Amino acid sequence: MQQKLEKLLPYVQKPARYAGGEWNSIKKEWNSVKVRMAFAFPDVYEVGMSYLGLQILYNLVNQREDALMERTFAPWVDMETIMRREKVPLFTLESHRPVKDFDILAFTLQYEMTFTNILNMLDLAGLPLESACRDEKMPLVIAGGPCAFNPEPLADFIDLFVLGEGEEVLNEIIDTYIEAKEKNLSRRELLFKLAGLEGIYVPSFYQVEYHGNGKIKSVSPKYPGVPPVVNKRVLKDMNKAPFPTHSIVPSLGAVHDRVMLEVQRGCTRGCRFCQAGVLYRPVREKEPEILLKQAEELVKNTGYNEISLTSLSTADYSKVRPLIKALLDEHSQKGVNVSLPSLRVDAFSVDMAKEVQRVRRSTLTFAPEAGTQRLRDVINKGVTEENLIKAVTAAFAAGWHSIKLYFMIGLPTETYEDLDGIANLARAVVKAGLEQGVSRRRLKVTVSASSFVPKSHTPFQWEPQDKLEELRNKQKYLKEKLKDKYIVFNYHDSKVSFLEAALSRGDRRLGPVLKQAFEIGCRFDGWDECFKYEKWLEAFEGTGITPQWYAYQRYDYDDILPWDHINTGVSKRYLILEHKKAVKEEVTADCRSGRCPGCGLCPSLDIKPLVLGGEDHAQI
Amino acid sequence: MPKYKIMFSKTGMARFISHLDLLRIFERAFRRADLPMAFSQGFNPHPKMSIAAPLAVGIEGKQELLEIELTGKMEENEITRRLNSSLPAGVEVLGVKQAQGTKPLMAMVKRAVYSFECMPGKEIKQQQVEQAVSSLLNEDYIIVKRSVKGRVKEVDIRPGILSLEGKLTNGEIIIKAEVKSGSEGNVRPEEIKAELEKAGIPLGAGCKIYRLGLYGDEKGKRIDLW
Repeated sequence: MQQKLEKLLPYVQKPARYAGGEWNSIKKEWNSVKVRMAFAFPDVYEVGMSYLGLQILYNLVNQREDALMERTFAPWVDMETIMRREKVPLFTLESHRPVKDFDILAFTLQYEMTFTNILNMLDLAGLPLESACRDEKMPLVIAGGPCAFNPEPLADFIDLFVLGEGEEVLNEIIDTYIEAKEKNLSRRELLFKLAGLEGIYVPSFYQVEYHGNGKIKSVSPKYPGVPPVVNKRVLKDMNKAPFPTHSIVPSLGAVHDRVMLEVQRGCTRGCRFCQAGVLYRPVREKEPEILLKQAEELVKNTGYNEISLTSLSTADYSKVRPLIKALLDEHSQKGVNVSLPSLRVDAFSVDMAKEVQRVRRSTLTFAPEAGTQRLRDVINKGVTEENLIKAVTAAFAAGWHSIKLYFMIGLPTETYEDLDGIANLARAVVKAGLEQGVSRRRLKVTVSASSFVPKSHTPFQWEPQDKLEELRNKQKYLKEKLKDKYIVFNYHDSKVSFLEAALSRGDRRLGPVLKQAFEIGCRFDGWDECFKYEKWLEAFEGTGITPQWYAYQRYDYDDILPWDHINTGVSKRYLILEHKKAVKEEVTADCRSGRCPGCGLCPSLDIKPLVLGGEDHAQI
Repeated sequence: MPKYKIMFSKTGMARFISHLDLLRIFERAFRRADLPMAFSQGFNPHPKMSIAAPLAVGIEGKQELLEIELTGKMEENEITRRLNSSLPAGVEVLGVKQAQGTKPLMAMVKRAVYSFECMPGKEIKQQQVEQAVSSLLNEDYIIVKRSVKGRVKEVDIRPGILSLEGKLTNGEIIIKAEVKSGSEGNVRPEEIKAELEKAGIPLGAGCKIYRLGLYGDEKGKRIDLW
């Protein structure tokens, strides 16, 4: 296979994507282990290699003596063409073996618009798309990650879904697999055993019934012993969690090509549109001493010149100030920087950015998400105009001259007044820049507006998405309102958001649509240059269902939602309460504040938030 | 601060690593090897390191050259040893020497030697290979088209071809070419390949191209840079 690849790679863009052999990649002796896993990332190498979860699981499996894990990524369209023409099956980067030879093929589901890539990868691997058509000799196909929390659109294709954090359950899956192999159990018997593990959902063991109006009547286990509701897995203590200090250093510039130091998991803010805030609950901070040690080893083992403090909201980490100081003391001498991937909208964050950025990058990014206080209260984004103006003033004063602002349009209850609010905020930022004496030639405020997509397991899961036409009108309106020589307005094609909405709240009936979309050529739908809207519409044709039905559906509280049998730990009662509060423009306290908002997660999953607190505790 | 010349090879799957990615790989390898790189001054410090001549993606480099400044003197064998235990598969340090003089290696590279190993698409005779080679050498000028910053430019590469040989071994065509390299009169290996194909020998798609070495030039004579 490698020889064949060497002949083909000169004809593709960025051939290093398929070469392997990177520093810290692990190629184990094939016959020395009992279980071989292929980790599949359904996007290109540069995106997949930026994903910390891959590094964590790769390290975890390869640390076992009885198992190995190799990697495979979605081939870019040029490579796919050559692979199909030359009959090269999907292969892993470590041993360049066909994926079909592995025992377990594990996909990560980071984004709905990678679903057609998953089907393409199965097909390139020479595997039938549907689980039901794959035989005992073929790999067990599993999937995890955020989109596994509404797994239904992929139910036909994936043998089992892993819900929640994979660090513990993956070992249990491997152990169970080995045991089943030794006992010569059938695939079905193996799946029964796996379905008994906490956090495992085997879609083929459930029966879905529908009402005449298309809504779901019931989702129930087909067999005794299969749990009616599957709970997500969550690690109790991040300090004890396995964390890779020998992460693979990509040979081709990845999107995030630096040390990724995860300072905490989870976020306490409770923004009502945010799915990650629910899925990764509760917040669990790591001890600074452990982080310092991990950072030291990572720098030594990777040679990176930048340490990025990653998490959903790093500025909220209790010990962020002392951690940054200690990291800079330790590493800045050797030319190693510290960076913060996301800033909170406040002066505290700007202060930190000032501290870490020896090299003044030109742009600082903030996400107020909505233009008026009213709408920010609806979404529970605890940010005021004053916060923003203080933050940007501090940034301009410190020498930044370009500010980027992220907003969402199409949020529930949004009116044109809220859009005016976006324009007003942008102008207020420009004003602050001019007042701070930023050169008129360099001052720039970039406004990015993405379209709201209602996501499962959030307080907005019942809400419809704005109609395509309405989103376009809003974009046009904003474009007009934001005509200013200091302001740049960016927005995305809302057709992608529309399909994302259909998939993210979809059910099993979307399986045939996905298959059809793949068959007529949809790939890399998250990439502008590959997205083919007409093909998607064609895929829906003749199936009797429409993307509109899913994207524009306003569900009732007592409707059974396609993902109701998946439990994140946050109760439906709480989500209803939050949705009602949103409509009444009432905010909910941050879980960090000590005033428990009562989401139900801690008692339900027998866990507690872990917040270190202390002197440098960020202000809320 | 002491400057070192490093000779390395980039072979196997590593030949698909691009020039810029290779620079990054070396920077990281130096850091992993705990070798004290010297950094440029200014707002955005970067290591004082340069690769003598970029190598196109897909070509194997047998004796490539890199130059780096360290903050302190180190034993050459020690640098070799440490780097070789810090580089990814396919990139290997062959030797390290302290650099003499101040002229950067990059400015001294004037010539490159390439070899091509190709399985022809059809049956071919030794004579045909020789004929194609000599017909190319007999040309007064060879015009190729290059696109530079989006504009197509015509360039005569004949003066840049210093020597060219071809033979047939066990059905495999082996071409060796010495060409001008660097800022003046640079000739690209894929241009030689295309011209040979035009001259009538089918080199085929699966050609393996190697850069065997980089040299300087003094009054028309090849000089060793090592």
